[in-house]
Amino acid sequence: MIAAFAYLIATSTRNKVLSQIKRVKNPRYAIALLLGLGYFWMVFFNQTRSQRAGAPNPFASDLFGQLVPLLLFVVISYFWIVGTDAQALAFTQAEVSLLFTAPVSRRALILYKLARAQAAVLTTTLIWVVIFRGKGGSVERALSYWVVLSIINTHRLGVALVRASSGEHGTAGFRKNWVAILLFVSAAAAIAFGFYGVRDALSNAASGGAAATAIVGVMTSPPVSWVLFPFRLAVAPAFAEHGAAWAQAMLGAVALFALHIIWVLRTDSQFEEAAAEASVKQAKRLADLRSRGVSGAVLNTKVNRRTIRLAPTGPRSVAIIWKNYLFLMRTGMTRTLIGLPLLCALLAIVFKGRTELGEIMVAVTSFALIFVTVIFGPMTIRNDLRGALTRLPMLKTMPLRGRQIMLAEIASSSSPTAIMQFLLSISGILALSFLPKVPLPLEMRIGILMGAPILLLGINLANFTIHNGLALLFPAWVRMGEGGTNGIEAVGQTMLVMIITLFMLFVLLIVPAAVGAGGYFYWRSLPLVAFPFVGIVSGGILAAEAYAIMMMLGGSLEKLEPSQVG
Amino acid sequence: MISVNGLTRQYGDFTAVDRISFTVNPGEVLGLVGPNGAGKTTTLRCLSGIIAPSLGTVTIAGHDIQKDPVPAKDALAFIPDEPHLFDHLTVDEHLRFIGRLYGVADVESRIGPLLDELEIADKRRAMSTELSRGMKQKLAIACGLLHDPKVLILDEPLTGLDPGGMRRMRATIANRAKAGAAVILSSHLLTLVEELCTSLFIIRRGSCVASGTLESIVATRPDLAGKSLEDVFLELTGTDERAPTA
Repeated sequence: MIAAFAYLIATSTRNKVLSQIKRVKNPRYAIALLLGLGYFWMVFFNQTRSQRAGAPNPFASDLFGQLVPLLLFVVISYFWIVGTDAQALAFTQAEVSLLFTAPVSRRALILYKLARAQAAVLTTTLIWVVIFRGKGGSVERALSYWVVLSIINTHRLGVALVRASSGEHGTAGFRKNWVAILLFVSAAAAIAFGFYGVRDALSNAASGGAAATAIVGVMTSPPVSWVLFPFRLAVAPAFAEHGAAWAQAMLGAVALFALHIIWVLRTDSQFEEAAAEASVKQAKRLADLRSRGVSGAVLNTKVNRRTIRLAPTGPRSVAIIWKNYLFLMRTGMTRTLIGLPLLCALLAIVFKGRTELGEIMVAVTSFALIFVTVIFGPMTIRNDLRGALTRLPMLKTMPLRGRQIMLAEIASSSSPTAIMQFLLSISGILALSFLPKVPLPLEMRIGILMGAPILLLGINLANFTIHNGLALLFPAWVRMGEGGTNGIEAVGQTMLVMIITLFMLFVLLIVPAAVGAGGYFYWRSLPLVAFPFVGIVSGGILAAEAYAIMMMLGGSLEKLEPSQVG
Repeated sequence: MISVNGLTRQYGDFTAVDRISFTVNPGEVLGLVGPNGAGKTTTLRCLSGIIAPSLGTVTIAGHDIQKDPVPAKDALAFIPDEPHLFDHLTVDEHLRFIGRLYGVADVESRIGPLLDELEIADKRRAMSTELSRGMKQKLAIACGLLHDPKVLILDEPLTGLDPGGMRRMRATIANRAKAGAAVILSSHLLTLVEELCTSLFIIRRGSCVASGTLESIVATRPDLAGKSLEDVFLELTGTDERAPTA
């Protein structure tokens, strides 16, 4: 059986690589590959030069070394609390048809899934070696990144199995996995307790350095230091010096990886035991669970059937926006898009007159979220052409021009993102307004809010146009579908896309930024004029740039054929 | 209503469809038949605007599908063998979506009778993911028929339907043709083709091997006289692999 699985993985990987190489025969792909390789060579080359010149290296920083295990804990907590079951347990349709019906134990399937994930883990490792610096040579760094990525991947699968077992068998499943659940809850409680103990030191910290010292103090003292021990073990090779120190660190990390594999297989065994105890009804529910995993469906099964009214006549492309907005509603994304800014605004009101630090935190969080959603928003909110391209034949029979489809698809994802960001800017300004000493004058705050909608819409139109344009021009290289990325297998690709798209967004921002800056300096004494000018004119130019690109991409969409996608 | 002239489609050096021409007038049902890999699906995809021909033209309701795609697509409905539906829309919402795309002003009054005709009225509020394979196919058919297309292109339309559904679908196709639609039907179910089609277009390795009514085809090949459509098909396509005798 192992030989069959190894054959499947090896031949699938080989064929995938060969088909990607064949794509390079197309001049568009060849030029993109050359540009990409040139860009990364420059980054790598400059990196090596700057290393020689003694430029700052984050892996040499103690604070960074202390924070990475905490960051890893946050990632793991996300798996436990939010859950990533659908994708972690997902098998392809072909795997379900051929492997689930074959005489293969579920344990063997789990091992196969772990092995299959290695292709993606190795790809991400390669990208990280190029992007990140660290101590040690390239091979040592590659192994260091590989082990931490493998641990994260295995942990995610283990969490998905525990959650599936608990979800499927209720208290019986919970009892079977009580050790793992108790360990996580205890770890989370210990960390929360540790940070709660230094809340005063953190809130009274006079500088960033003092706050960092307080954080490091918590993390190096029990109980937090105990809890973070396995996380430090996982990332230790990336921070270890050459030779024996690295080998020792690697040994610990590999042992942790091995423990994870044992845990996953044991979890699976318990899962099967629980399934064996189950009735016929429960067995059917297990099949349902598996089939949900197959599609990796993000759709809520207890789906909200509230709808939005759609007039039968009017601009036809509105139907596409309507359909894509329903996707946001039905997948619960609307709640996040509206709920997060509302929560920030609510906290700002609650903190009013009570805590200055609270108001500052709300303002910082609101503005940070705007920044984060500009960068990562298009990777999560994908109810646009990237989702529609999986149904290209249907898209191409619609009585619409390519440019109309492009505009509707991009408006579907960029407009809700812009609305969320505008609401966040309101909550941020609101929090600032509740401070005893308001840092911005009233005219400036009003001016910012007047300019923000158009500016944010322009930025998002440009940003989402870039993401959709890449998917349209390089459909074989860009991940399709509406689902967001939350698996380790997508990290490498996500980082590449992020670097490329941010660079292109930067290029599109040059003219609007120059015009906006000129206007701002001309009217800077009149904030009620300067800020709306910046927002409306810069946002307008960005939107115009995006519109021009969409019109060009419309032609490409009309020429795109199903065989080119996927 | 459908005019195909010198349609050729190449994939690199491989010619999937080679200079085929035919016309389907209102009220006619053309049966597009051929063995696996003959080029039927490629032809249907060219006709419906999913892929572009390498050479030749396709005219739908007087509009070239490449040069003037919107009015051409407005007049046609393509129902593929594999239904492509949206996971997050209900049956009703699929039809409203299609109604808006095709500007069907009286969509509300059309949905009920159409769902009744296809016997999925009780699934009106169901999500497409909750439908069986056959129900999904019925929904895809309903989406195709909603805007009362002048041109109907069907690729294995009976796939996944139960016997009752098949019978109703046959009646639906016949009724649409009677009402003036030009229909192209591609299927391996030769009894369906024989029952519904007014003419045949037999394709093999991308080229036409015979076209016209069954009688006219037989007239050009007297050796086929008195044979069933299945025998005629196997003779013309050179795929006569009779089952081995015990």
